[in-house]
Amino acid sequence: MSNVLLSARRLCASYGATRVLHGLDFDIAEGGVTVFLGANGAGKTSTLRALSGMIDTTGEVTFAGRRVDGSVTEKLARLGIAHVPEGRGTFSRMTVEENLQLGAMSRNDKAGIAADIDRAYGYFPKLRERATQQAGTLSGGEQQMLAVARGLMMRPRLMLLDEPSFGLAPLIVEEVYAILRRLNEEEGLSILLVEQNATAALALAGHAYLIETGEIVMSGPAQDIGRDENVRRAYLGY
Amino acid sequence: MDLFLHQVFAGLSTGGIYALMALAIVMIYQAIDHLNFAQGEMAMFSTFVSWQMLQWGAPYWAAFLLTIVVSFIGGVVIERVVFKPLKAAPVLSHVVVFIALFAILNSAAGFLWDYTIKSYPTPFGTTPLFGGLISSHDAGMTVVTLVILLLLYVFFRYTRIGLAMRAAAANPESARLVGIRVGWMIALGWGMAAAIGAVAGMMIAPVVFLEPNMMLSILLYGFAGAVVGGLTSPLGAVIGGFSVGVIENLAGTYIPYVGRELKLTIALALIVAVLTIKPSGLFGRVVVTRV
Repeated sequence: MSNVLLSARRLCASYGATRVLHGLDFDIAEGGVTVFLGANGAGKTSTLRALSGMIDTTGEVTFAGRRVDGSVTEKLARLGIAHVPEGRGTFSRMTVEENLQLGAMSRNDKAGIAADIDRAYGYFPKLRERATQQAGTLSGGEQQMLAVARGLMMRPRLMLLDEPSFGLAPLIVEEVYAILRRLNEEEGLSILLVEQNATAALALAGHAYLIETGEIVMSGPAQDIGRDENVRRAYLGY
Repeated sequence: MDLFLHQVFAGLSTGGIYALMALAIVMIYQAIDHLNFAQGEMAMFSTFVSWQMLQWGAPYWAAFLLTIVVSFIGGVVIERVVFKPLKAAPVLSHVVVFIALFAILNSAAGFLWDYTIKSYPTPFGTTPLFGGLISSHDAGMTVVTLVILLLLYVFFRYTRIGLAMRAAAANPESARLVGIRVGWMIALGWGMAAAIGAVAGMMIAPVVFLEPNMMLSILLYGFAGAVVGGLTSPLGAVIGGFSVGVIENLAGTYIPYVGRELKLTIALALIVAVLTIKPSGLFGRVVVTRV
């Protein structure tokens, strides 16, 4: 594996008294795409929320060489973790362009921000057409693209994506994944995504973890995981 | 006709008072999603602070500006000390603390400056304008209201920090994920609301005189104005405030039995009517969502 950008050791998380993650160990490669597969309620979203400081956690998390466990969400965002949350986190009453501006809220380089908005529109031409439209009126696919674009505006070192395929038509899923691939290959963006749509995710990812009831039950190169008999039956449906 | 015009203008001048108060209410509602029942008492307290400065011999505008700054800081401090620890608490806890704040500020003002009614100066004079339709103080107060409204509009529409404040209020979780320090945005909202309240108090005091209970009914009218205009719209709050002033006056003049005594009832009836017919208020943003 190449350089490790983020590593978690004995990561546990709980909502109140209910523990949902039971000591996860995993590494995210710099410049790679890592995927967490699992069924509903397996702890995929909780893993991302734990990495963003949105729930109570214990264990060690190292990001870009520094310990970050226990940091608050806004600090982790400022360190370069762009979390595109479940439900996409759109600022629905604001315009598309304002959503992008908000992505750049932790930055101060006016010219750089303007250039990045242009770059985001380059990746997502539909968003340019809808720049002044209320973001809540966009279609599901457009909102997913806006969410990714908003994350890009943060100039992140790592992007966390929570089910980018959720609720989207297959063709739109393909479109979103094609753009994620370009972002990874052209911009060297490191990505950690959690998915139920194993087919799309395994095709993009370099490394995969399988998570069941809050524990990692399998880990390996995405290709090998995709060939595994049990995974195929449970998640790929053939 | 003459009587009608007079009553409309008299309504507009009291409406200016309500508009300012409504503006402060909307400001804090935007930041914290709650109505602050202590808003009026905060404004009253600020006005006493400025009165004290004037007593010590400060020039009017110096006291005015200094009071705005002090109130802003006071608002931020109240949020940081009292409300930040409550951020996960249910709405009712907030309401109880609002009421406590109300009582504390009211009694503290009574203790420090006693309950005798004090006169308060106006920087605009009291010359009648337009053939006695409106006094120069009322005109000045209206201009001040509109200037604040304009400043707020520019702030929220065109500055990054204004955008961040709107984002923090609309969707705090997403706001944190893009690195916005939501807690400080809320504190900033409190500071701004306190500052606007201070201006309202200093503009209102020459009309209703200064005493610890000066804001009681005005806060109600301010709520009415804010609800009529829509709690999400500063412009709506101002228009709502003026409308409440005019409606109240016309009803008092033309509807038999209303008179002076039942005027406050008009404000409450307006709140109920608007909430029943158009809950988002006349100018409130109707949220467009896809389902």
